[in-house]
Amino acid sequence: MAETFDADVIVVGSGALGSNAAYELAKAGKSVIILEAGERIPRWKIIQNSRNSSRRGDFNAPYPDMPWAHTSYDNDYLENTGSFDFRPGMLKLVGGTTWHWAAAAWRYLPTDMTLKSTYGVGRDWPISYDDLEPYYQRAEEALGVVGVDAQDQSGQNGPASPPRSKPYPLPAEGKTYMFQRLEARLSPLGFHFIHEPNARTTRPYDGRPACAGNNNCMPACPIGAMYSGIVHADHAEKAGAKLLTDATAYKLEKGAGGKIVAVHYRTSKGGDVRLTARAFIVAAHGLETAKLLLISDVANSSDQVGRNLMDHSGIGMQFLADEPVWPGRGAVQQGGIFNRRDGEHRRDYAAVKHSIANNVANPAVAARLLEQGVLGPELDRRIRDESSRWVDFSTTFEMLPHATNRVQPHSSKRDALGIPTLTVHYDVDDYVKAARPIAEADFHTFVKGMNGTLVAISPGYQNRDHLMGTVIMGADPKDSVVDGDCRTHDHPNLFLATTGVIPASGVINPTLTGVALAIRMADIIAREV
Amino acid sequence: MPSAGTGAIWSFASPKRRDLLLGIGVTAMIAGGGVGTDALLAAPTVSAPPATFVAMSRFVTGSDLVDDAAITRAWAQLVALDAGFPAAVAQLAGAVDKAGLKTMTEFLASPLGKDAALLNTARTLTSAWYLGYTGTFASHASKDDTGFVTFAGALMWRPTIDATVIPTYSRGATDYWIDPPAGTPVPKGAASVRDWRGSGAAANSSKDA
Repeated sequence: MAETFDADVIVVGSGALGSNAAYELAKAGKSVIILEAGERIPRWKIIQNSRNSSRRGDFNAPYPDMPWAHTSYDNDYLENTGSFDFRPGMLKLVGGTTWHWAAAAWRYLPTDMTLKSTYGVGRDWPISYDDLEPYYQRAEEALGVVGVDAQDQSGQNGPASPPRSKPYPLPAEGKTYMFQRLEARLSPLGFHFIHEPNARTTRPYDGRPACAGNNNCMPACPIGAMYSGIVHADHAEKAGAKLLTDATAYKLEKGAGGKIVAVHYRTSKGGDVRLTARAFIVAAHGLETAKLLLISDVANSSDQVGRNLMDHSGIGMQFLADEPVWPGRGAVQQGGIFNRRDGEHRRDYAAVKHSIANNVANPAVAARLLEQGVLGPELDRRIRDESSRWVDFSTTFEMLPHATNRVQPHSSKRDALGIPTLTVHYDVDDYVKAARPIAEADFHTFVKGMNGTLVAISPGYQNRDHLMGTVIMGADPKDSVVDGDCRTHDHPNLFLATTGVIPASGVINPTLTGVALAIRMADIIAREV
Repeated sequence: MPSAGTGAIWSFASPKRRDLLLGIGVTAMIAGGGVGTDALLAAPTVSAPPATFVAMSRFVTGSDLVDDAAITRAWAQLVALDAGFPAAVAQLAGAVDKAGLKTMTEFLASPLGKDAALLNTARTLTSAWYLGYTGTFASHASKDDTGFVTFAGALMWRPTIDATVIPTYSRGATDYWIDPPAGTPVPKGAASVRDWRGSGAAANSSKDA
């Protein structure tokens, strides 16, 4: 008798990566089940929660934080043992964590993917930029990415790069007045200003309206102009995929021939369910994916699962320019200064990206003035003046993979479902620390160039929420978890759709790359099942 | 967007600015996170805000605060954070009344403006109404002692309402942000480039940093 399955493919996680893979497979006629630990929350409710939160600076705050589906800011759920408080924004609901991001949709550079062979540090990818390029294009079309075709995104002021087979699906949004003013005064000093390709539409696209500058990309776009995984969670369902909520996967079951035969999930109502499939995709975020593999004791013959954790740990700087530049008009970020994204310096210290934040400045400015004791009519006058001149740089560094930076299931703590919580050990490395003085020197040049007044350079390092490395990709099964197709070396029918596969972090937001890899993986699975 | 709006909680002397805010409501549903008002709404023992709290809130902000629900939230949360807060407000009100002060400008110029305790009370009140929450925000945590007062009614938005949006709301069409707000002086020196350009020869960079 022929073997029967509950689905051709089961996808664990309904975020941007899992939902894009699920949609591609459903479109190809495969039966697909998506398991989501959280629930479906309507956009209007998230915005209402956001407006009525006392914690507007916490982008997780408008979202559910349930005893069986925790967000990452719950200190009882994510424990740190290293020198850095590694605490990326992570959500559990249909659509995943791209409910709150700023929709940066960069491609890696070819040199990012050959870091070891080009600069002698870190690791190379087992696939090339050319292998990925067609899937970058498909990912950009899926997300509705806007961009400037002619720019050298490596920041070297050369010809357009990285190479593209087709133009961006949509034209870039208008350049903000602030960006114009900073560029006008700082580019003569040699700084190369680059538009950030992003997934905020500039005209109606795939049921989404054009961005109208609500300036609330984080914690959530009120109008759905900004892409979120919910777009493809919905598309996948309409294409026939079955999406189960309140379904936390806690075990991948091994069978004959190294194959995974089933996934077990648990609900908050107390039920345990076993589902079988021909192939499995774990798309459960860079931390949770590694945890699920570890508690299932799968895919870890290399002992690399959970290790090599990377974020673009960053620093920030604010200053007051000598002229009104008016941040806060448009989306929350638009690009920045990219001179140090690539170059020979990467042999010695990390690539650096200086992003320019474009949030309405009033909350930061008002809080600072109140701390200074400014009261009465002077407070209003200074809020207006300083909010108009506020410039906020958010700088990120390239990180290298280290086996000691890792996520593990907690040794004793359990969530409400009895599933281990998370433990992270993370130390910022010397490659990043060597780049910090270079970045800070840039900061002072920016301030001087704008004849400005420095407000602050952040102490320590900041989370950038870009999870990489935890299920690292490589050609050698002895030192990596997945191959270039995101297939686990140990289990031929287990694939991982997560930015956790990325072996060389570069300095750009990795989500678009994750979606491109997920679509590529879906093509491969569709041929096999 | 469902909204149990009660309108902006403050009003302006300037009708022009007030007009800009017509239609912006303050939603009444409460999100999780801080102390919030879920507990407050379930706590019948919270006393009504005294007239001195309302009067001193209006005095320190120079604003005609009119949202009774926000006033009730602010009072309950400030008392919960500091049991001495009612006495501090009474002390401030008594001092202001005794000195016959009518505005914060007069207060700050008077000897009372050098009194650390009175200034601290004034700052606590101002902070709640300007930032729209009470307590101290803790980042990268899921809980702290903050409490929601108001969002769209927060006074910090008021000074720039002609130039920037209250986040979540929008004004103008796509790409309105290319131009500066009306009245922005034309900057001296380097001219802006409004359109995106390619790199290399087309770029306006002249040398490497």
